Amino acid sequence: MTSLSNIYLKKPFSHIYVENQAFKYDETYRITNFFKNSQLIEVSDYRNVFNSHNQNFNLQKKTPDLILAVKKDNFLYKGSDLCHGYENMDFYYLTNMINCLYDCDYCFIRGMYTSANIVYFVNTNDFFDAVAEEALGKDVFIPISYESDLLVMESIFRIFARWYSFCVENSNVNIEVRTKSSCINVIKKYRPVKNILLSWTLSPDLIISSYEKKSPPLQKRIKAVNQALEAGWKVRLSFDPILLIDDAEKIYTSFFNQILSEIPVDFLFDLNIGFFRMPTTYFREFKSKTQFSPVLYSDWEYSGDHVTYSSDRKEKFMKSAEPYLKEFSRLTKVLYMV
Amino acid sequence: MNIFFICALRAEAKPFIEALNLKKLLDQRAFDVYKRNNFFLCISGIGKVKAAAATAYVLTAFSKNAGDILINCGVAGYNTPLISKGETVLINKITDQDTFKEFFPNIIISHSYKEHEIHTFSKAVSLSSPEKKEFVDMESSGVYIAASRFLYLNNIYFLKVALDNLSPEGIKEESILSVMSENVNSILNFAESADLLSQNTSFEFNFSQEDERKLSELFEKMKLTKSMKDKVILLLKKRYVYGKKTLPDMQNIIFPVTNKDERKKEFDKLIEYLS
Ligand code: SF4
Repeated sequence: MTSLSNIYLKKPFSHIYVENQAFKYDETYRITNFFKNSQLIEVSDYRNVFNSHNQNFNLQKKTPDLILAVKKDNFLYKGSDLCHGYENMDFYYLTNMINCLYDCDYCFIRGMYTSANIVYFVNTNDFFDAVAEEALGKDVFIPISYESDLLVMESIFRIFARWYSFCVENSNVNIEVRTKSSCINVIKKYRPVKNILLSWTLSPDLIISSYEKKSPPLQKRIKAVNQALEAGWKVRLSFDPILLIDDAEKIYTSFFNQILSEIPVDFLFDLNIGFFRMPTTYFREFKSKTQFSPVLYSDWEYSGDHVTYSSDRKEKFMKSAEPYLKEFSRLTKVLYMV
Repeated sequence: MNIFFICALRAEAKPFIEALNLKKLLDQRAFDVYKRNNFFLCISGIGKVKAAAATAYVLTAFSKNAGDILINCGVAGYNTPLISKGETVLINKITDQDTFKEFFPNIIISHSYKEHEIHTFSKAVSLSSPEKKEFVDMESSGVYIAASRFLYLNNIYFLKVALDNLSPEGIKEESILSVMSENVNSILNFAESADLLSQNTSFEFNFSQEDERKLSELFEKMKLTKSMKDKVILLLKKRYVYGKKTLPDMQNIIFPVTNKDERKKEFDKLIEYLS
């Protein structure tokens, strides 16, 4: 995309679509007030705008709009039976928000939805009620930013702030907040609690600048991780997805080296490592939206209900990364995501 | 990219035909279609059904790319102090008053028009009508439904010039001609920006016509199967996204094939060359 096109592009969030029912929530007024200069467009059902066909996903990613909606059901989804690191708990996930400000070429959302506009469900209390109900008399584990990156948008939406208060009152509810952000100031305001896991996805700088567009560089993320660790937060690192592009071995071994020298890995809660993989059902749509990216061009293997790199390719990578992975395993718990 | 205008009335179309020096295509029988270079204009007649039919007709015949631009322009009735007579308004929501379905043109372009929603009726509405709305027309929902099958939503624009103030006595041809003439230059400038935006934000991989011709010659020479062709195209796309933007000279390394064994040999050679 040339810079010429930027002249003709509107500003992000220039249009706020509001579902009729969302007007019943104070949150809607707070957000629309935040975006005072945006066009407000009333929608009877958010899916009329979000699910329309023939939206230009890639262009919307450059300058997304916002949809304020009310989630009516399915507040909580049951995850697979076991979640690494939280084996003794029931595992759920939820979607308070769909899509995010970053633009990762490999994002599975490209395969799931036709729109890159951001949906925020304003009825957060209904999510809390559903979680409290489900967690009655047991411990649960819930990644709350499954289809978004909440921390980077915290100054607008304040979703973390509300989950923090909820977790302080409900110690049996364990949440994971996944992020690529460097917004440590958001976290600094809060005292660390043991039922909130902050989970940073880290990638080599070359991967970040080419394939995780609009997200902070590695150095800033490392700084945020170290500050969170120093403050006493429970921190997970994720090297997921590893992208086996040309020269991946060289790029990732130098990255592993950097992490080992700049982060006290032995202080981490754990470390997740996984190669790029995507449910087969999303892959077709993903391919059509990602034609321009080198991420797409590989010898894909369809294994079960997922698409991933060929076993040979993964093995070759693992061999070259072995000394580093051994060192990570010596220092912390390493979980391989498949 | 091609730029299409859909107008309901001849009086709405005339200023565009004159400004762009469009010529009538004599071989088009179902609707009047005018063209010059990449500009097309189709006169649909009044009403959403005719508008949908004209849109589908012209896009089927002349659009090859979801990045083409379509602008539905014409006059619309207004009944709100927010809009003034003669003002061009860019539509951000369309409600079909028969089905109550909502449609959302996806505005991604930066522009200086006022935005407003519009209600599409299948019959004329007047100020005394119990169902009167702030801004009304008789075509938008039809155009949207048809155009959204062909084009990206952000390339479908509805530019409506406020005119009749929902007056029951109807609108005169001269007033339509006059307000459209006043707005034609601004709408053409807008169309140019929309075209530039679309051209510079194409995320789709397309070979040039010349490269497509060379490729089909090569495939013919090698008698490749569909899956073999797909493999070659995938490798070429990979080369392209890794920065090798020109088609390599493949003709010179490949010999014509006469049987399956030769095809296999030449295909393997080509794959190795491209990998
Ligand atoms: S940060 Fe996560 S949710 Fe956002 S684009 Fe990247 S992969 Fe997708």
